[in-house]
Amino acid sequence: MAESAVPHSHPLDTMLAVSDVIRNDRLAKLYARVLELDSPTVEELSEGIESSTTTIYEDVKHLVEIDLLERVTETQPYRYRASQVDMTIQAGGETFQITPTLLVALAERHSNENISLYIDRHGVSGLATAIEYGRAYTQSKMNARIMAREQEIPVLEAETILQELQEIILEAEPDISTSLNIEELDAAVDEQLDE
Amino acid sequence: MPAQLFPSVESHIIDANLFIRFERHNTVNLLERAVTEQNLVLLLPTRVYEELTPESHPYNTPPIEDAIEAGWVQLLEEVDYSNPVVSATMDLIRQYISAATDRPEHTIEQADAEVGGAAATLLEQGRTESIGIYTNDLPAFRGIERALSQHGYEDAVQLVKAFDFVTSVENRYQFSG
Repeated sequence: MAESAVPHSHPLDTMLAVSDVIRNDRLAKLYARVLELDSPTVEELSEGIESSTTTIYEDVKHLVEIDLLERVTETQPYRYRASQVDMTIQAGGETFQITPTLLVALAERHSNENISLYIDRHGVSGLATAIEYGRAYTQSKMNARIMAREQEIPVLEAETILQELQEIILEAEPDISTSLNIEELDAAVDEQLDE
Repeated sequence: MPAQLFPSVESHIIDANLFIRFERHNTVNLLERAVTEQNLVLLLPTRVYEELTPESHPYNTPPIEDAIEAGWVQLLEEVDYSNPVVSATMDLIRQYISAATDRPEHTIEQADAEVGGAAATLLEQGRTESIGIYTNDLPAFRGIERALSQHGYEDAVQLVKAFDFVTSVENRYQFSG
């Protein structure tokens, strides 16, 4: 079976679940922590989180109900894994991608001044756009000067958020390719020059 | 004896992404120690200076101003655009940035290639024979390297991967008094 976005859910349910997490910092942090720890128990989760164990139990239960977490063991203590959210929203000619990386970045807003500042200035949608630039930057396919020009922000701000997001992307998307294929790039340039 | 932090070259040119990483980590002071201990001076292209000192910035004084004031970073003169080797180098860098980022070449500004332009200017003016370029922008570096080798400067530039360099400096100096 394909590893689809949140399994067995209607896209609308997924959207509601995701918006729940986007608006609720505690849920976003919990989701991010489960992603980080791979498949923790509630007890393991409670080690890095300030909420009481009871609250964490309730939040985990809620995240399981809305399919953002799934229970991966049959016996207690149960282990949970984060579902691979992958949603594309299209509205007004623009597409907007919601990925676990966005949820993790949102969860870091209170501990990361640069991310918090960026959201204050450009909103959650701005952050989602920045993540797409950050993904390309991580793959050596983007630089801060181009992002700055296209997003009409200073290079300093673009470089800063790209570096912050790169760290999150490397954690949340460990399969991302970070090595630049120089031969391929040389060939692409030669082709351009021949035209 | 720990491995050398700096390549053995005559000149050291830094890109914005290097300095911003130290700013983000609050470790510009560690960079200062590493540079001054070796009696080095980091060279800063004009464009990069402008990028590090935008009109609205979160500091009282941008850290780069303090570094220039203290003398361990030196602001370079404008790139010599009229020199054909310099302009050819910058053109090829633009091609590399365009190909890597999948953007039309005309949207890449000449100034985007200024780190390479600064390197070519120094070489053409005979002010140095070897340059370390501290950047995270690998496509741009590849453009610099290839353009310069086409103009008789084989092996004149060395890439110093910015983020690896930051990590090395921090590891070396973070907990040493």
